[in-house]
Amino acid sequence: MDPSPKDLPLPLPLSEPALTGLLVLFFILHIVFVNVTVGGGLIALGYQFRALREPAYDQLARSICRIITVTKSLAVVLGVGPLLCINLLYTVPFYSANLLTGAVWILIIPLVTAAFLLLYLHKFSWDRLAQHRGLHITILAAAMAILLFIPLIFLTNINLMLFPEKWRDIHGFFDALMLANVLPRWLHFMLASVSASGLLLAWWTSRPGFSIPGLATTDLRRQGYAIALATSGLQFIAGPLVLMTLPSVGLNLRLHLALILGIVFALPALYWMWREIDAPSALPGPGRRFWWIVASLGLTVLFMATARHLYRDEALALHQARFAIARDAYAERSALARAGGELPPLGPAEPGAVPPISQASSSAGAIAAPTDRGEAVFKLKCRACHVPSKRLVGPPLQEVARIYAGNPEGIAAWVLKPGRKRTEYPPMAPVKLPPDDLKAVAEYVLRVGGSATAAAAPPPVRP
Amino acid sequence: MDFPLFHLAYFGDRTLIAVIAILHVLINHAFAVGFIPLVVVLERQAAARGDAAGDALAKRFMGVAFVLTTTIGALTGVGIWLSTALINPEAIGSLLRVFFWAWFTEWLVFISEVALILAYYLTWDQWTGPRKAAHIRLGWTLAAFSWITMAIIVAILGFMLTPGSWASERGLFSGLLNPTYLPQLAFRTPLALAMAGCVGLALSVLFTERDSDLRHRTVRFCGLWTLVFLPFAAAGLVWWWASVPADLAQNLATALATQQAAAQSYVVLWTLLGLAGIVVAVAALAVIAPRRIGLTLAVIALVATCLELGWFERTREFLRKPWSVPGYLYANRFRAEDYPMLQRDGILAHAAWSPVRQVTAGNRLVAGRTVFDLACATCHTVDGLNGMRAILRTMYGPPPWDADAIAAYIATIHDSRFYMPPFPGNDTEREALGAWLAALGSPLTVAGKAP
Repeated sequence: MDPSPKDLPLPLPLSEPALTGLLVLFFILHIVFVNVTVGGGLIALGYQFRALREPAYDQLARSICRIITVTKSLAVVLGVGPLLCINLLYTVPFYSANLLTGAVWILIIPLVTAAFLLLYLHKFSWDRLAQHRGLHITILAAAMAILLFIPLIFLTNINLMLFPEKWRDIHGFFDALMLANVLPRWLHFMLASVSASGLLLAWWTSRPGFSIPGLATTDLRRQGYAIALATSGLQFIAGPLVLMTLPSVGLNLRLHLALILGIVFALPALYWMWREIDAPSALPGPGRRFWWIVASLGLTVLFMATARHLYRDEALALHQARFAIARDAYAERSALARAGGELPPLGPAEPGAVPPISQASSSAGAIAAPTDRGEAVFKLKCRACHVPSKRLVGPPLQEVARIYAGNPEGIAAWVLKPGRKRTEYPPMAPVKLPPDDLKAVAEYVLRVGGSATAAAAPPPVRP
Repeated sequence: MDFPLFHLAYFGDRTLIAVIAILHVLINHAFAVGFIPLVVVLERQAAARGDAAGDALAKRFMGVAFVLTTTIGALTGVGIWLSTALINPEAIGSLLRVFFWAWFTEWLVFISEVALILAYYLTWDQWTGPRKAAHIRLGWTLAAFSWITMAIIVAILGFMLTPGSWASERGLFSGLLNPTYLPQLAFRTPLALAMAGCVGLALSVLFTERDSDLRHRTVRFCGLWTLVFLPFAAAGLVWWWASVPADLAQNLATALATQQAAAQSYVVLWTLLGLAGIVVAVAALAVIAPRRIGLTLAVIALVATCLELGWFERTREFLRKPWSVPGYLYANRFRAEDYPMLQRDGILAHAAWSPVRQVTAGNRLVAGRTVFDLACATCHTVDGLNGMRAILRTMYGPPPWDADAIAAYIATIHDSRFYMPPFPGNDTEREALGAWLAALGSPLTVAGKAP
């Protein structure tokens, strides 16, 4: 059987439940800002298209883009917290998923950078490109195309990490993307993004002092609620799709309970949104049910995030235990080896396993078993690069013996602080040896090098 | 050993981290840590003079910093995490466990920094008149937070070079308060400020009318700013170098240049000194004759400071070799404490993703390649950067190469190349690795495909 991956041996800085709580909490903070950025961008894009026919909407799109400028940066920086926690809690699954999809995973950095730069270009060129609407909209569309793809990378990783039993069949990002659950989750996320942004629109456009010439703010508020209601309603299709495509490995009663609670709290929010669309338009502010809607949807998000975590916990429980057992067994064996103890066999030897080839079989000039100190030191420290009668990495001993004939001190000085005589050879590194060893090895080199020269006449000359 | 292989066959794994991290540090130092104080001082001066054009210029300066730091700056910061997790998950995973609270604190500071940078730039035109003083205070707060994020991260960088008493105590603070921390901070802070002066020079030339008072005033100010902080950076660097332990300092020649050119590393040193001289000269010229500063000179000075900092990062990262965390984790991702076991069991037997468990007569080359992937590929490629074919050619001349000689060399590699970790596996694996490396030069076993 293959050895199991092992968790890291250093202890966690916080208890597992505490880290889990932080993970769920930080993740919600992060994802809300991501939702608003992605959903807001899509809504702004929609309004910019609408502005081609109804120019008043141009100002609305611009106003929404001002929000995104702030939320996109907060989304990134708030993502660091959950990343910290997931790195610690799920070291093996998370890193394994990252590595299996590595090339695309690291693309997150240049892609998000490019999307943000495009968003700035779009924002700061609004007046300059007023006569080139098509180009201006294209810039935003390009940024949004990237921002629609980024969640797929994250979801692919977060999904892949849940199923260690599938890891061996995954060769790159697209294999992992095609696992059953990824695309439904992406749909679920996109709907949530637009829904949250619709609510934000209802609030943003009904703030005191907000006005756009040619547009009634009450109408905008209504549009915000309509967007939120429609996308939230569609979650009743997307949600079950996510659940049905989840491998059954992580499903349990607690998870279903959390899901049901999430749905229960979403229902009144939907009803209140419906009422707000219908509400008399004269009232100022986002509507008297706005904060109730936010609170009940907030609870929905909390329960859904909890459900998601419960699934992860269940799907990975046995694997995490396996990684911990492997870590402990490895540490125990390692300690035993450090103490010089007898190591139990790891498993049956494979047929045809080769024993180590004896050191003496080196073909680059055989040297007899060490009988003196110089020879022992030479074998340990020098022989990897020098042999008696031919160039290996460095020059043959013959050449050394010729240069330093009768001058072992010269060899000793060179070994401690080598210079560089031949540019066609790699430079020799200093070898720190005690004086006795140096003296012995220098004498040995002169002896062996000299006798090799004597044996081979005329002396070989390197081209 | 516990993770699937991710390998960049051409650029080399470490290049990915290097590119992302150096880009990050350049933006962070030149456009945030050093630059925000400069912008705030300019804003304050303009407010004191009642100079609307000066205020607008300060805002345009900040606009550049705003765009760069919230895009490339922020994303490369996250990118360091993502890339280190791909290249050396054992190292970043261990660091996270040791420094969780440091990173957690840094995260809170980082959130504040981003919120402040958004607030500072986006309220520039609203907080005017009586609120200008508050806006300037906002700027100083931002500058402080910017510096704190750097100050926390530098502690971890220092730890990776000199873990100090952590090796015995394994605590957060024993790791944070490591011997090279304060010297490195004392170097980076004034260097960032000096770099920001060079950025200021370039932006002044870009954003102001030629021969205008505003240009001369700003160019002279930025030149003076650079001149003031550069000597402190030099002093900080000397202090830092004095605090680097001797066993790491012996890597300096190779760290500055390459192994092949180690003997000529003084050339690099003189070049870096020369670059510093250029920066001083340009900054002095900016003070004495601001009208003589054009975009070319300003950019030369800026590029020179970037090269200095980039080279410092390379050198510092190289000095800690063969370690990722000295005394604990080697750069090859194996922990020192596990060597006695691994050199008996072999690394293949413990490698979750290896296709082979032990070396057999039939799988020598596959085993050798796997050993390479596990023990060497963090720093080496086959044909790309730091590629083995080129190295073998330099060492042994043109093929054929002798498998036994290579295997013998690997056994003592750490004796002669201080920046290389000892080979972690057992003798059979070392011989399989030697066989595979020798096979890289053989027409019969090209790329290790044939048995």
